[in-house]
Amino acid sequence: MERGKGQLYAYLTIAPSFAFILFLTVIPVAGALLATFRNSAGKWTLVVYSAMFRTPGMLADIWFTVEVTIVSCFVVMLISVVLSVYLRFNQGILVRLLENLYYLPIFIPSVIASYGIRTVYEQHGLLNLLLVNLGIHAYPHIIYTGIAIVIAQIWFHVPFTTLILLAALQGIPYGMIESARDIGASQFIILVRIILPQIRYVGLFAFTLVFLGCFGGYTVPYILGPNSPQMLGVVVSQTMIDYLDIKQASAISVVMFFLCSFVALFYVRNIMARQRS
Amino acid sequence: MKKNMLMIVVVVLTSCSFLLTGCGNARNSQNSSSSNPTQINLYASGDTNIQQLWDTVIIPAFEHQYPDIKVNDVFLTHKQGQEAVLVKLKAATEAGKSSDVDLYEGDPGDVALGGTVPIWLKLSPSDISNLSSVQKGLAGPVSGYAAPYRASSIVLAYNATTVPNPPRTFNELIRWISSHPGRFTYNDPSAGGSGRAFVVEALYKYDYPVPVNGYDKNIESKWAQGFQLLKSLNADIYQKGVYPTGNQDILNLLGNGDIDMAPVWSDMALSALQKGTLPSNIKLIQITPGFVGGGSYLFVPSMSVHKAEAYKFINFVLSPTTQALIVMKINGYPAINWSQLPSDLQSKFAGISGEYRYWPGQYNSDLIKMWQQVVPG
Repeated sequence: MERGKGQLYAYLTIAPSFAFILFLTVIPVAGALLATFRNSAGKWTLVVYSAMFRTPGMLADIWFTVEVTIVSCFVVMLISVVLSVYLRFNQGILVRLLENLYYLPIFIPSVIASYGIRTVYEQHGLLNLLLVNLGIHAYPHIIYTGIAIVIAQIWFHVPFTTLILLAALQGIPYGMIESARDIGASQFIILVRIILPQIRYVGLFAFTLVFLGCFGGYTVPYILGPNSPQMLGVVVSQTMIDYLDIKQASAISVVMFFLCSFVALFYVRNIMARQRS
Repeated sequence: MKKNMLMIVVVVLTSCSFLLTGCGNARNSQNSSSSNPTQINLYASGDTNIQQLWDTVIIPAFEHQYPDIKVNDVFLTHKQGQEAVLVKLKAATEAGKSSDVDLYEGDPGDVALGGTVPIWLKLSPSDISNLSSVQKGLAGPVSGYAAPYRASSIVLAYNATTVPNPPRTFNELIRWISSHPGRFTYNDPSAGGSGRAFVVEALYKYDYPVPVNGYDKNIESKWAQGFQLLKSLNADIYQKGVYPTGNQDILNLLGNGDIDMAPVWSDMALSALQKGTLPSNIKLIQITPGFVGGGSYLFVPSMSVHKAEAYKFINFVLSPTTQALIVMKINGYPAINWSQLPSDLQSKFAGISGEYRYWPGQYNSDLIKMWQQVVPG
């Protein structure tokens, strides 16, 4: 009796969030997914997908998205690991200053930050003006290229990644590092053999988040990216709003989901391996 | 996707607010006795500059002249929620019921709505005397079912310091672009009308007529030449083929000297020059044949119960005094002939008041798609 009541209470508690996910995510997604496999007469077909892959520029767009995302992930991870290790194992004014500044980008809306990045890096932007005043006249094109997107991903993802890596690094006892140092391990060996393995799973989690955030992004590539090839987030939005082709937009989203699910799978497998060990 | 969600939320909220305004108005009209002023509802739409034009310039002036009529502006920012108003009007017309929409701001594409039952009244100069002074080109696309009240067009902006002799025709413009690599661009046609106008100009260059009404996908097969011309320009465009995403981005590039020439919206550029965000060495001209332009129109629904008041309002908006106010306030073009405006306004717009072309909006999404697939990259 008591147990039945408890169970009912438990179901009632999760009912709102369950309904939320069911009606706002599961049903619409399933509807869109099924629609992409049907033609206008309701027959099952792959016509939407074959039309999508035959759209001029679509393969270039997919490749460009994957390329920019992977480059962004590695650059973001590299900077975050270096920054968090530096902040964790050093002291001084610079460290304290950085500790208070590095997470500021989290509070700046993405549209504003994107325009800010444009103002700094464009042809008549702050950076070029600075270089010209120093006598350097070989400023490359940055805005409206994939590089601008990578720069923006650094701005958006380094703060949060550093934050969670730093939290993981707090768990490494100083004693461990000191005893390694006592037996003659170099700084590099300590980093590679002791510190990095300890933050491996958190790092993997961060990598997944950066990948998903970058892969499906819309604002950043729309404001800073090239006209062609485009990142898939922009392609979906344009297909839906400008070409009014909802089925094809859903089909591109399915492809995006498919590509992202590889990263998710990789993440889940690693987590399971960790639980087993 | 985030943008879409936001749009849906905004649409839902605005529709809800219509429901509420609808209730409010119904109650008002029941309570209003003959001693109270008659209230008419104007469903206007556009950007905030248009909202200010209605709420702070035109409506106060009208109510001052006609104290017995009150105009209630139900403003649909960026046309959000317009669909709901049109559905409501269509339903009211089919059911033969009166509607609280007395005036509606729209474009020529709205004329054909309603199918067999016309949801708009045909307007004639016998009801609205100032209709006779409306520019013929603007009146054409709506065949009497609406009154144009303002217009704007795309014009060519150039840096007079670096370009002493700007091109005067589209062919000269193409030659100028090829001989000055990197000094010209237009925005992505999906992101604004000024870039779209340049694309339209390229399609029109090969002289294929585009029907004003209806939609015929077959004519699009003839656009290939125009798109090939645009593709061939790629290497000579700013940064070897960068098409910024917005009308304003183009003005910024002109302002900081990254480019010397670009198609821009007449009213946006003039306002920017007035505010000083665009330096005074940027000049505007209209080329021949002209870039695309078009008007904004006032419709009177056939089920409106305040037709006489609505006619009075349109007549007031089309008077030379109000038209001059509109030109001054938003730097738009008048709907009536330029000769009826004060001479200082005429000379201010002399370089750009030339003929512009009409482009039927129903081809926009196909144009954007074909451009994206052929031109950039």
